[in-house]
Amino acid sequence: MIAVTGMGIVSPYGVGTDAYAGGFSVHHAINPCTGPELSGFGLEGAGVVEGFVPKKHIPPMKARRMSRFSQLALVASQEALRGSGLEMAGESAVRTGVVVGTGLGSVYSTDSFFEGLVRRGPAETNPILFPETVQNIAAAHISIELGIRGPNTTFSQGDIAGEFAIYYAAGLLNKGVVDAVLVCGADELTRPVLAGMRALNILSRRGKLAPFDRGRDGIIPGEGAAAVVLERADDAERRGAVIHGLITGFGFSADMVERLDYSSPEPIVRAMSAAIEDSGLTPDLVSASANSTVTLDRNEAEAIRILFGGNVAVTALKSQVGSFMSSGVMKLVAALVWMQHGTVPPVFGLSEPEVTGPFYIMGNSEKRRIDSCLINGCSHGGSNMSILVMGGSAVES
Amino acid sequence: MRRAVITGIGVVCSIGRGLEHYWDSLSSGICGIGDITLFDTSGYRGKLGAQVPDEYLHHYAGRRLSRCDIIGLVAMEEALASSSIALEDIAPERIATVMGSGSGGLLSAEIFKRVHMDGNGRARPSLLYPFTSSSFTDLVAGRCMSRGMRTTVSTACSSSATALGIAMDLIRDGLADIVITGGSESLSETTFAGFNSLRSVDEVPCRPFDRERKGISLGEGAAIFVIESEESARARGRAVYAEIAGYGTSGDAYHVTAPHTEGRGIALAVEMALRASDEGRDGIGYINAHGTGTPANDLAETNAIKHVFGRRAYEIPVSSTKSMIGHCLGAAGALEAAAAILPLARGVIPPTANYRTPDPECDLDYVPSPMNADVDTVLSLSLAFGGNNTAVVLRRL
Repeated sequence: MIAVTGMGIVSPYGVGTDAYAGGFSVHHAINPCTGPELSGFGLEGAGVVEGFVPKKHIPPMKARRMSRFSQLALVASQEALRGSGLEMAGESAVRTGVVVGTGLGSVYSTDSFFEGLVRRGPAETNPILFPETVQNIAAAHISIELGIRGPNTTFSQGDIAGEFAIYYAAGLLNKGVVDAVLVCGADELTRPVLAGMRALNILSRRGKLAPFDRGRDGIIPGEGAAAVVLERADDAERRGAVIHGLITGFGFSADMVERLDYSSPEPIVRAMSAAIEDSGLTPDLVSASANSTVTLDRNEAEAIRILFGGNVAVTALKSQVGSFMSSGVMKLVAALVWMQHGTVPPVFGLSEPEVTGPFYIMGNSEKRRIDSCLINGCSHGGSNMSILVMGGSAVES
Repeated sequence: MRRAVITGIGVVCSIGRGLEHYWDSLSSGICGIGDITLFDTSGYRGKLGAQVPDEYLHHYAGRRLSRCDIIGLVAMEEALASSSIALEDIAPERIATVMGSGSGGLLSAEIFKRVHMDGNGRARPSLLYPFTSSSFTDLVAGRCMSRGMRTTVSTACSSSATALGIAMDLIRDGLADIVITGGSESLSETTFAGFNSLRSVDEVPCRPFDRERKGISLGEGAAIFVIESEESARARGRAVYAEIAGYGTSGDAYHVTAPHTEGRGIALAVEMALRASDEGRDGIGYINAHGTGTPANDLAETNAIKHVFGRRAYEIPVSSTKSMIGHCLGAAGALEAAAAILPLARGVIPPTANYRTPDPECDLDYVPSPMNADVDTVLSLSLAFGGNNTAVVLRRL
């Protein structure tokens, strides 16, 4: 089994786990799109990280040269590593890995670099932007700033980029390749990302968030980063680390669909069942992938109904922070925070479920003891990954 | 433990379509670096590149396909044909797809962006369909009836080398019966301008390890592999090109664009790959170097090889096939693994083309012209921005 011994999060609720823990049960964090950078897309709001001042956390000279994607990822990772109590020096640095999941990396850097090229010509491009255009740049900054020298990989498997990063990290630990892995999922929300989503016609037309609801009509975008430190559970216990939770099972499936479409219900059932079988636990809660699109929400709700009927509570992180592709790691951190507090947030924006049967948490957050949570990731293009986690208090008892 | 073996290889690049054609060109030291016709390169200091000739791609077209998609699909068809695999006889859940991605559909997104910037009419949204890194993976999965594990590594220039390693894991762990793996890359203005902005493009075809080397030459292409277990290949009566024996990855934790001078991260990745493959240092008979042709890369790599292999480093032929096919970024690891198998299959070591003047600091045997050798085990190195290193060990069965 794999233990979570460190957590970090930079979310639309603010910087740090405390900021998330202080807000999630009360309100969603779909903040108004007032700034010029994100306005003009007809959105009431988006999951924008506000109050994030990178130079408070990163040496200013370095922060200036980093994309927002890199800054978000690094700050979440700093918190996770600090919390784990692990020191990166000598052999431990080599025996620790970095695995990052991102859907898009820094599209802003790519877009600005290309725009400069078109407007000013090849001789006047900005060389500082270019390294930030590669998706493994966040993993590079994390390894450099935190001194982590072991295996270093970045995954970009659509909307399950974060879930897959967790899965791969668990494999490195189970194979004994490393003793600890810092896993981070990060994506930035910037103007070119919104422009692309608008062109692809996947943004909500009404600009309103409503996962699973009859009135849903598309994505409300978000951004952020979350990070966890993972270790083999027996190692973590041996060194007396604080264990926030245990990852007990994974399930994967894929459907053959068009590149912008989502899986049909049957493969989603398959992924969830496989995770449950792998862990031998029945979850108390499903943290759904639902992103307010017509297809995904219907198919996922159907899958949950088929597998559980009404026997499991359902909520959706994207109703709190908006939709970004690497949210899998944030789903993990969020689920552990919910379990710690014994509080499950509602699916914000949901009042009239389209698929009835599943037991959605609606309206207000609920006080409820949750020992285990099934995290669902369902990507455009048809790949799905479910992860089963046990909370820290369940571990102790 | 099940052995993961390569039974199909499909290649498209500047010097060949199809594996035999590619190997013929490599065996003769043919340099495919020349003029680029895809876009205007007149404003650049380094104008050359290794473009895939149109006649290799002409039977493919599609409004929704990027050049990267098309190049990759041609290689995929070659790979399937070369393995004689009947995918329809295999359970779709047991077919996995693992790709390495570089800039993906960026060339299409550039067209979209230009139309947008010009303000003349509406850009076709379908130009953005191939933008996410996973979209080529999803495309291949659809064509190969793959509903098993699916993921995309996005670590720039080492992506498809790591993908090969993950494909090996899936077979060894019994998580798939067939894995379609590799990577595809097309030239784009952004990457061309990007490397030029960093002043790392040579004005003449790149000269890896040469004292006069001034930088890289960019290239494009794809290499796709069919991987299965040794038993399954035997049962089908298929010849095996090579076993994927092990891989290792690491982070330099040093600098965003420059490699660690002593190649400490590279050495770590190589040691990890040797350990994973149960291969001693003495077994390695050829190294396909990353060998970009930049002063810093080639020196760091040389130092790392000396660090790992000691005095034996001087006896191992080390060549950079980028001197013929250019630097194919996301596809580089896959194309170079296909090149590294040439000595195993034909007993010919591919040369470092354009190598004329020895560099006192880079004093290994860089194979200035093709040579014969009897080799059982080879090493392929792939390095990326941010000090991301991957080493893959390939072995004759």
